[in-house]
Amino acid sequence: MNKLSTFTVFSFLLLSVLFSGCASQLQQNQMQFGIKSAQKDLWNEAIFRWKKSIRSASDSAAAHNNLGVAYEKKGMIEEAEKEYKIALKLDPDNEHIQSNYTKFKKYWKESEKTEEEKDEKK
Amino acid sequence: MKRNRIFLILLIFLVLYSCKTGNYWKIKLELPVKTSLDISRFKNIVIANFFLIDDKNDFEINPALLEYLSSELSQDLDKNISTNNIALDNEELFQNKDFWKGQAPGEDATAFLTGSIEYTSETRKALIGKSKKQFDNPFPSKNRLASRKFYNLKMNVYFINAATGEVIYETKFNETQAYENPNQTAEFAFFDQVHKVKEKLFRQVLGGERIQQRYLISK
Repeated sequence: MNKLSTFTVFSFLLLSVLFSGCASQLQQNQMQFGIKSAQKDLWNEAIFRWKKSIRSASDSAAAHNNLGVAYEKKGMIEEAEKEYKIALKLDPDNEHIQSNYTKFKKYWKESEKTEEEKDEKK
Repeated sequence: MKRNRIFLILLIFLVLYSCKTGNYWKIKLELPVKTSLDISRFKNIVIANFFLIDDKNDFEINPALLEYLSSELSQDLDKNISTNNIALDNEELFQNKDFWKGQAPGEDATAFLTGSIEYTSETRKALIGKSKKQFDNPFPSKNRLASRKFYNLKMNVYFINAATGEVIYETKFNETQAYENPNQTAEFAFFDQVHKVKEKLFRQVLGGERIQQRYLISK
């Protein structure tokens, strides 16, 4: 009986740690809300939500990545690059963030080149 | 007792899995393209004749090109668009400031759109291979020689400030298009290629948007 109660207490403790470690529900709600807004092309709202999410969890690579995407969409290139870099620093192995940053660099560098240079390469 | 343990272990795995799995969404963005020329300072755009290099074509390039460009620019630009049949004897004229200043005296907010064109065609013979089929053909067809008509359009485009006579923007295009029909007319092919040039030129000068894909992450 004593063994059973110890196991139960231990299990409940473990579960409570797991639940609290699973990022706050509030922060996750903000993330999801931001994604839904972005999908509806409401980028200002999305930026607001992701910034709020960062305020409650500044180490969220996802929130920084999403902000990078939003700034890119708004043409705020310097801000976008800053956010992508923070996201990569926080989660260097994340293939989605890597992909976003690679595409970001390629696109904006290419956009600066003239079509003349492109034609010469052909 | 044993059932409780199994239930708890399953629950722990479930919670761990939900924490660990990061969801992502692909999203398509229409991103702005940087413009290479600030055209907002001009009220009038005058499309002048283009200098024809090695003109051996059976149709009049300049009237067709001027009409096409003025019609397209009028649709995309809220400016006064006009054409001017300025006679261009040589390519050096593009750098002659006095020549261009004299074309529109007293007009400060005017830019000339002009340039040079080299439009050539040739017929090439190519070895055309048959695509592989799913099943073995007992009577396989051999590769054959086929003629293709190639048209090449080289264009140097200049924007010239009428007030100073200076070239304010210069860009080059080189388009080649192949046609299966050996009797394809030069005029038809010309408009195919000019359309491609127009798309690129307008993107450089007027900006626009390009579709890009990015990932949004939830965790």
